[in-house]
Amino acid sequence: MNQRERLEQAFAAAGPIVGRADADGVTVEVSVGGRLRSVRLTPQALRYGAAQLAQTVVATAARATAKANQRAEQVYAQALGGKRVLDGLGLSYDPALAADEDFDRDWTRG
Amino acid sequence: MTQPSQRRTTERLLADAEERLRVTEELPERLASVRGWAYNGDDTVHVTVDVHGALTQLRLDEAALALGAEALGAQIVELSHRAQQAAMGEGVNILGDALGDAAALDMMRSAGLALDPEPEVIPYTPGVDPNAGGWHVIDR
Repeated sequence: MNQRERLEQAFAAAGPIVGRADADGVTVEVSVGGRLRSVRLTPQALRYGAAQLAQTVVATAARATAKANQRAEQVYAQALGGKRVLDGLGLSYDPALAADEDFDRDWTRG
Repeated sequence: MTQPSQRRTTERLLADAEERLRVTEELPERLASVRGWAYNGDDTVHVTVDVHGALTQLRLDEAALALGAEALGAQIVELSHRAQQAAMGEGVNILGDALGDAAALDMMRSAGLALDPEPEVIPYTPGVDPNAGGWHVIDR
């Protein structure tokens, strides 16, 4: 099996890769690379005002993207034996963003 | 008078090759900096994305909140997809500088981007005026 077939098989086995994150009534789902699949807002999310909402959507999308890219990285690594390829594709991510803890949010809003 | 030669000199070929290499080296950075944007009819939602479609900027007017939670979410997604089309068009232009126009056109086709339509060509038929009926002679 060549590299391309190994990759195709690995991604087929992994199923669709979706990164998902939520904060303050905003739930964002993205594909690898960050293309938006859905943005769901609760009526509460709209109460903080437009500027705050826009900021939350962008930050949540960034966390969802980091998760999707991290998952893609795992699938690539499995198929290709640990080689880092995402940086070359412009799909690098901040591991801190991909973490599930919402460490930077609770103290900002109390 | 002699016509200037259409063939490129060795110096010219080398310079062209070097230019291609330089452009190829810069490719990842240039692609990473590409942004596409789209906004809705009222200009209350303004979305900016990179070539991958990742949201880089979102501007919402207070009036956008009147759309309601569900419609606003859907609008952001839809605009981001339109913005990504624009970003990809720009990305293909940049790739074309490095890989040549033929490769860029192939990529546009595979990415489902619209190509510039071919200009309309009116076939030439001897004795037939293609503009017949399209103009009038003022006969005095």
